[in-house]
Amino acid sequence: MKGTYLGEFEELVLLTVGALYPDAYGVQVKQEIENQTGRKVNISAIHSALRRLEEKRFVSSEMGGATKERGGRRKRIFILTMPGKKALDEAMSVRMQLYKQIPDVAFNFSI
Amino acid sequence: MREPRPATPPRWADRFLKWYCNPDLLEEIQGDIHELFYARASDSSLGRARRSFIWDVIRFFRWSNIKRSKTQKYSSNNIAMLNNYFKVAMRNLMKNRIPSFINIFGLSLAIGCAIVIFIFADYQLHMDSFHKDKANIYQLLNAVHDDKNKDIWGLSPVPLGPAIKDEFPDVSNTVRVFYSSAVVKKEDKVFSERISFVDKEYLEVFDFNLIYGGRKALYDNKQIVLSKNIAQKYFGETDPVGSVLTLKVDTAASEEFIIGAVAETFPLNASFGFDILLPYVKLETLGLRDPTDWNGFGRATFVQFKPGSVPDDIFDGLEKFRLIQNEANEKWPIKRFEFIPLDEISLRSFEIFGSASTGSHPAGRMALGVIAIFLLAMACFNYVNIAVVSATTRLKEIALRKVIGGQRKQIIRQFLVENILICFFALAVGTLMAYYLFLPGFNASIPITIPFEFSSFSVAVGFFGGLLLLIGLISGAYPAFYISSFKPSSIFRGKEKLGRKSLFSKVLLTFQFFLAIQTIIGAFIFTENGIHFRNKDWGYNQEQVITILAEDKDHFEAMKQKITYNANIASFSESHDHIGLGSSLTTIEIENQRKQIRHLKVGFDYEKTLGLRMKDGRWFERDVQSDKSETVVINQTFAESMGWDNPLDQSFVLDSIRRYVVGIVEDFHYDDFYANIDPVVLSISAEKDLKYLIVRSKAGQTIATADFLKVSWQEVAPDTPYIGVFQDEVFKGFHDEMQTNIELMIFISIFGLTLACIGLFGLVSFNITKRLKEFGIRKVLGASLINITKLINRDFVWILLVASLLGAPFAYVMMNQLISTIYAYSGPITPWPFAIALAAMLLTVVLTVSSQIWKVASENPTNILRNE
Repeated sequence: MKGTYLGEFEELVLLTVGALYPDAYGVQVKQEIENQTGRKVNISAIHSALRRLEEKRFVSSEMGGATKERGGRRKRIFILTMPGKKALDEAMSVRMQLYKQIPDVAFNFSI
Repeated sequence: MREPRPATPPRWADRFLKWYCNPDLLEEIQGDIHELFYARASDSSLGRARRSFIWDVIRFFRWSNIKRSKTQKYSSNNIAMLNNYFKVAMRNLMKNRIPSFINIFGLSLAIGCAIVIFIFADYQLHMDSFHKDKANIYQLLNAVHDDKNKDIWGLSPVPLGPAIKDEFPDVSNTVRVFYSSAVVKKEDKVFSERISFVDKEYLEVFDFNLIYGGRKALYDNKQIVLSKNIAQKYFGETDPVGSVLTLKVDTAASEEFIIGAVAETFPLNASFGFDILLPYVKLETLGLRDPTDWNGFGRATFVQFKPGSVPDDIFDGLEKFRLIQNEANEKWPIKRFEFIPLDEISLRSFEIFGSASTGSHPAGRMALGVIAIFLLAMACFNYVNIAVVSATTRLKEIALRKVIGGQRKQIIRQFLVENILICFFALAVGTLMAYYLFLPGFNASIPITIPFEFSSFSVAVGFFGGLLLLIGLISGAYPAFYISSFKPSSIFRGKEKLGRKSLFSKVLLTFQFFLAIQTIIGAFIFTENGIHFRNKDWGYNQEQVITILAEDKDHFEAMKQKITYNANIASFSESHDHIGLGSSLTTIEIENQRKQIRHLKVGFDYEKTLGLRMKDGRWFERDVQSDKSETVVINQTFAESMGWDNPLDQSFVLDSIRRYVVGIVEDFHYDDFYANIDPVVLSISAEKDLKYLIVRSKAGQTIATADFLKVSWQEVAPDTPYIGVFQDEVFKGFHDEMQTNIELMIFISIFGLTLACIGLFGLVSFNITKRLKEFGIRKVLGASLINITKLINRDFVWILLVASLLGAPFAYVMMNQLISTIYAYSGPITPWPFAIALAAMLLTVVLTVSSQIWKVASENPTNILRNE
């Protein structure tokens, strides 16, 4: 196993899954990321990231309802799990900690 | 608002997705991209949506999404079984470390040897393959004798080459080669060098790479081409093109030549090359050959055909030239022309008289090939034997496999996989051995260096793959098929027994020893023969004789003066021809028949100086006037071949003078021991033709005499290199080759014996391990060490005995055959090789078996028996 390290893109997807609760599925996640960040993302990349997150137990999934646009096919709905939440918290706190450590002088860009 | 026209994603992309996608994932993936498609189709154009759809399908085509389920289930089981086979095989190897080691080691040895021999053969078969147009280049050979096998001459008439080129449009080029030597002078350096006169197209027909200069260098009659060695010798590392060398060819005046080109070092597989090339036209200007004279021979004529043409196309047309030649040269009329392809020249070089290329007798290659097969066979037999015996310990495994549903097919497959695994190890180890050990060793013992290379990649792949499959399948087939045939029920009830009592493994072991005995006896017979040759009487006394060549008359006379007054010299003789350095073939008319014989023109003291022995009659005498031109001495073979009652009354015509036989000399070897002794006639040479000075020194003064000759020569002829030869070294090449052969044979026989013993050791150790309990009980009941030794040895001594009884006579017949085909004069085969071979075998067998018996003897029976 690769371990439970959270990649940048994975973190983004994981956050989106949490934010979209309880409606997170492939296309929705893709559109949300595109709207929020302005990044163009391919759907297959989302799928891969979601599958990896599931392997790491950060999200769980089940097959949801079918809609007409999908030609009657069901969606796989992803939900943030406790370990997923924890991993997000950790990532966030590490960032905050490091951010706080930056001395003020470093923000002085007018050299 | 207009209804959007019914938009669907491209069907083929959708199908493609369905085809590759894992069914478990298909629904969500397909759902998502369809949803995206419809969203895009309503947002922007249909075309863009379709393109995006296709792109999405392609992007989803990744390993984690690809369907593997259906085939996976089937093949995964197979792969799982294969995994299991490997695992079981490895466990087995680890469990029986010593027999496995023996197996792999024995096989590796044999494979290593086979690889080296294959490389050697492959190399020999691809001599001269670097010439790009090799398929269209042939050498023209001439059958001069009627006897088909004997006198194939590489030499051919000088005018033939250009005549062929002019006559036949199918021929693009002909290249004649004429070997000679020249004294080369540059400043104070004076050396005698080999030179080749060649037609100007030589460098265009043959692809010798050039470092300097161009391929048309020889079109200019003032230019010559050097090999890299020669260029370095005279000019160092600088570019010599345009520089000048002075050459003195034969008796012609010295002449200056311009260097036109320099060739790169020749490829290792070049069977012929050159030191210095001169334009062929110089032959005429220097007065060596008349280009229109059908009587004169050049060394070789190569014919390059236009693509698509073959020698048969011009064969009939050649008849005309044959007739011209026959008319011009009655001495050596050409009976038949023959073309051999460039890449076969070195293979047939041994049978071509005056071949332009080098190449050894094929007997050695064939013997090596047979030996490689022998060794591989022995190693395979070892393997089969040990595999069969070791399978006894695995009967339960096999039965269990069968009981839980393993088919016979699968068991066979399992054993074959195991074999191929072992062979793979052996092949790897064997290749390493060949690379680091055998090939360097082999190269050290032969005069050429063979690179660890194959002629082409496919040959290498074919050879290694073939070897792996062949050995794996052959050695594995018997155990696999035999063992897999047992019924599980009878195995569990302990009914199946194999190994010790198996006739099959006994036969194999016998055959192995049979082969080992062959190689050992063969090696000893070869060695004995070599010793015989070393001590063989040459028909004269070759010790303490030095010969110098003085082609210039002034030098000759001056040297003669010096020799006459030297106290260390017992006797000396002048001569035109000399044993080991040259004799000529000539035709005589005898009893109205024409007959070809060998002719030596010698001086009056030749017999005394060389120590030739008179059989009958007398040698030439200075006082007898007729001895100068009318009498001859013949050798014993001549006298016997004519069936004369009184040879001294006979006469025949030689060089259109009637000659009377005055003496018969005992046969002497004028050539090495490969060659037969033919009829020889000796006559007194004309004064002007004398060119050799043959000197016999007093005992113990040979070195001093050699030094004296050399120093005197430098005084007499400072501009001409000294050429002096010790008579006992004239056939040095032959004796060196003999030595190499003997070394190789001894190596091989030790090898064969090692292989046989490795097999024996493995078998004995298995047997003893299996019977340890039996021996334990015997010991407890009072059996002595001798009893047990007898018990163990009984089988093997029988095997050895049978192998020897079969092997010895067979070896005798085979070796007799081999030696008499290679050498014209071989020694008698004595019983010694047989005795020594048998003793060596017996000794190694006893040692091998004893080392194992020690295991039993030193073991306390309680330890063996308690272990239940």
